[in-house]
Amino acid sequence: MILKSILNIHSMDYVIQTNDKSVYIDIQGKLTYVDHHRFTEMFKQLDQRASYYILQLENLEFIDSAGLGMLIFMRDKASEKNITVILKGSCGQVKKMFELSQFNQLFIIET
Amino acid sequence: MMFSHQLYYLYDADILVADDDPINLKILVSHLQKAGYSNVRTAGNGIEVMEKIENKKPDLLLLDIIMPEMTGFDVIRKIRPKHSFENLPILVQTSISNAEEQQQAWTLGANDIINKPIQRMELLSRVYIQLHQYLMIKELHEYQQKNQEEMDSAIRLQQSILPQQECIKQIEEQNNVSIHSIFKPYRFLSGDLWGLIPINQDKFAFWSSDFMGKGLQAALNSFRIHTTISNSKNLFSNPSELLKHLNKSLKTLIKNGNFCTFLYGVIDRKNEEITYASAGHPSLLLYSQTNETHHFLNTEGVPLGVDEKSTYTNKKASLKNFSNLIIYSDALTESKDILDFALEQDDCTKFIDGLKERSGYQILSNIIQPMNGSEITLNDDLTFIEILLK
Repeated sequence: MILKSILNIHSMDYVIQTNDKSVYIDIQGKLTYVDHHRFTEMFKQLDQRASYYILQLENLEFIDSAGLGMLIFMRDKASEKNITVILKGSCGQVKKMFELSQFNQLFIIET
Repeated sequence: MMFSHQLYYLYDADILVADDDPINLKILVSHLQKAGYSNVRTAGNGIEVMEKIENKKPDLLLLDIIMPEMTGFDVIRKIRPKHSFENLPILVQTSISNAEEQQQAWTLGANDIINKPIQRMELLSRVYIQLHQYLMIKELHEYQQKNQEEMDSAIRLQQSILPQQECIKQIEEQNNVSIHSIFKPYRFLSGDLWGLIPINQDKFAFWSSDFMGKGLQAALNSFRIHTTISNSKNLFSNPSELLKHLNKSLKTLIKNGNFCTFLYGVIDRKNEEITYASAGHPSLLLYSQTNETHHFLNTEGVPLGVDEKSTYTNKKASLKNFSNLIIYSDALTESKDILDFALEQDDCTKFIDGLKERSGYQILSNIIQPMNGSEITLNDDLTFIEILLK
């Protein structure tokens, strides 16, 4: 595990697309504790003048509690700039985790 | 010199110089003292070296090879195998032309060789490098030891706030149940914690918390939640209000992005029901031995410490006909590769089927601590509590 963080091995990949006031972030693979650094690096790249961060999660297969923490971190940071975070297209285990943690009370969730 | 990390006490190091030639000895000591070393001892032969190092272990030994009675090689042979001297830096003076002597010095475990005749700069550089390295490692070792001691006392503290035997016994007798648990940190300290609260003849409460992350930070946060619960006696019978209160106090205490999943339940033996509230904690498993059926209770809820406005609701479930009530951390839902089952998933039948014959505690203990002694480690902190309803 330590080796993983030294080598900066990650299990998540992303693509960012900005369209006017909306930033689309397509997240793929697994979002777990090894992605902490990568996720914060990704977050820094996002346009802070946007109104919406739309996370497209169709291709996210797995999320652990650290991954949920990253989304919460993003929500807290974004709300300071009046940016709304939208979680879109979650399925399988990810959808279950969102339900267990009642993420619909924290984020806008779209199918 | 060329090192950036200066050890201010390096020149106070205890150096023992051994040489049977008084003139040579004088030159060596003079070079070292002029360079600033203030603790230089001398020995005229091997026996004297042995006496002096047994008396007080030096920080560096500068050793001549050819000495009467006991040679430098004899000294190294004698002390190197001893545990207390295995890391002592030994510098050996050998003749530059004697390759065999040098070969043997390396073989026996000298740290470095200084060529004779002695060159001042060579001597001082080699002494400095050896001392620097030795003292840095020693410093690191002491630091590590101190950390270990602090860690040990944190582990003892964590153990001491888990439900103690008297508390468990009191509830077992008062409420006609039997309680077994497994609490296994991923490493050293756990980010999980659980508790039991006696209420009265009919009721008792249990709780289980899991902070995001593992290790020290998560453990310190779990101490906070334990304290906050202990100070909330008026809410012991009202799970949802207790969660609301914990959420508010944690929100001000913990950092952005951190959170805690939590479950609090009150078991009522008179009415055979459970009232509980959950903040995204893994489910609660009910099993009926008579009907051989099971049921996972709904434990949805926003984790604690995320949003101060979160609210929680009390949920009720009947305990009639159920014999086992099992509370577990997410280590049991996410470790299928190790356990060969995962609760709440399609792969939980192996565990559920086992409940016909044995308690969940027995099943899990056998997997995690098998008779052959090879203990299994999960990738996460593990908490498992089983309440058998008599």
